[in-house]
Amino acid sequence: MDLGGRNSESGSFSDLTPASGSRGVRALVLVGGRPEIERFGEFPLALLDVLGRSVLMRTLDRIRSAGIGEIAVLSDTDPLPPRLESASCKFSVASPECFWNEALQLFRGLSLHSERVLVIRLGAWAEVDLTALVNEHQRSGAAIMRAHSQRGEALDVFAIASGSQSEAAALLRGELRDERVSTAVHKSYGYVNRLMAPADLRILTLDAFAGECEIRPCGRELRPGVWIGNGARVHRRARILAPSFIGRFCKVRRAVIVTRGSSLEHHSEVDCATVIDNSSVMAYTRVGAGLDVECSIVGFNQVHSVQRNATVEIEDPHLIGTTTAHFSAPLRIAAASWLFSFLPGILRKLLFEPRGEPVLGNASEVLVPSTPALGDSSLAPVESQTDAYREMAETRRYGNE
Amino acid sequence: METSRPVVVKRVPESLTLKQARVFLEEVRPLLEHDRPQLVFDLSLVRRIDAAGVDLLLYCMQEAARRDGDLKLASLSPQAQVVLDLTRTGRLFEIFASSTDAVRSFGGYLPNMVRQFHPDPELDAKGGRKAA
Repeated sequence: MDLGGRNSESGSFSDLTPASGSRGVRALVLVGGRPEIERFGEFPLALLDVLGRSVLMRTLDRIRSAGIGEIAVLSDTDPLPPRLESASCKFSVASPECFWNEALQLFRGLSLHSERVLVIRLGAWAEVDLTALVNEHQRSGAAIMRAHSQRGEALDVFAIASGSQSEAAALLRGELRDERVSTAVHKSYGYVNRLMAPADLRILTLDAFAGECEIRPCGRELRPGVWIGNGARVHRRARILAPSFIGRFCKVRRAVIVTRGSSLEHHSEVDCATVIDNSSVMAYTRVGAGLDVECSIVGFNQVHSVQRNATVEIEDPHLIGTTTAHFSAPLRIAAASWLFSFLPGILRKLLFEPRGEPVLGNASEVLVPSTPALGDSSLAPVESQTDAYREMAETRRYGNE
Repeated sequence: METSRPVVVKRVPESLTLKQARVFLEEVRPLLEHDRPQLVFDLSLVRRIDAAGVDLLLYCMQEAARRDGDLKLASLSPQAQVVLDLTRTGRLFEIFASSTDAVRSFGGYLPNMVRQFHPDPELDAKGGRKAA
């Protein structure tokens, strides 16, 4: 999860240049606003990474590629630490209670210096052609135009004329759900994933691997279908089967299997002998050793099973934990003290202990241990032992008897 | 003479983390110390379970097996199922949809065995199953 150019101050956008971008259009991106759905843990799904970049960031990219330079983002959740990159957007956070009022204020600020404002609520990942939407809105002269999917479902993507303040106020106060506000329809034929539940995040990931949407993994394609981000470390005994994605600074330890469209987002860690099968591991998540993560979404000390449609909160670091991007001071001190306690032993071993391979006896001596029990000739030979086991198998044929 | 032994159904608490697992273990320990204990753990209430909880279930199964008994799980909540799947321990237990099914499963094989060694003459007269 990363947000560019975050600004904790919410409020006016009078500092933005008038009529910036093409055709005097600005964009307002709302993240959340529906506390009961579209979440994993306490985070909106739009803030979670999908193959290296969050739905929010990908949406901002799409808006910028449509020639809209000035963007305001309003979220109802304080996001995880942002990636420090410059972006021409203002980011603000509002509590769920005053989210829609804040959205209205932002809309009014944006509409001061533009002809129209695009209002996009995430929500859904909708590949609406924003240029076509703006052009059609301009041609139609309607106050509000709403994008609809190919199947006729209304999407939370609106083009609103700056002069239509009252209609915009009614729309935003009604949380974009008020059917009484009349909107013109713009038909979109792009990919749509509504991201209502965590399971939809898995579907979006799989669709991205299959090339059914515009989302592409952020990383180098080392082998066909296997993408790895910068700084990721994969043990040579780990198996990564296509299609899979290993994000930036991930650690994949020995004997781990990552397969069937799984994705490990940045700074996640998978411990030894764990299988990640058709699952998504969220950023900064540590998955313990010897686990079987199948058809699940793991992160924020939670596991959501897509098959069982159940979410479990796990506070046991042996199973699911969290990682950090930066070492804290106590961790540094602990690591340094451990190193200094370890060094004398290593030096002593190197300097004083004799080197060389241990000498083994011949195979029969090694394989047949000379214990008193086995050394006793009165014991049954190997063949009769086999017979005894055969009888035992016969006995066990009837299970509980 | 063979007598039917009781099957004890024990409801597992909502949270089965380290602290609660210890309390629960103290509750079930006397049951595990019987000869050939037959236990059913009802996990329908479980909402939170961690490695200590899974460890407890494995320990109880091990103790029951050591005394020639058995431990079966019933009515698993989705949360318990997820954790058992995650830790690959679900396959080690016999799991039933309800406690009643689990209790029945303990005695299910017994009538067949009894019939096998003590054939019912009426059944044979009707041309039913032949005595062994």
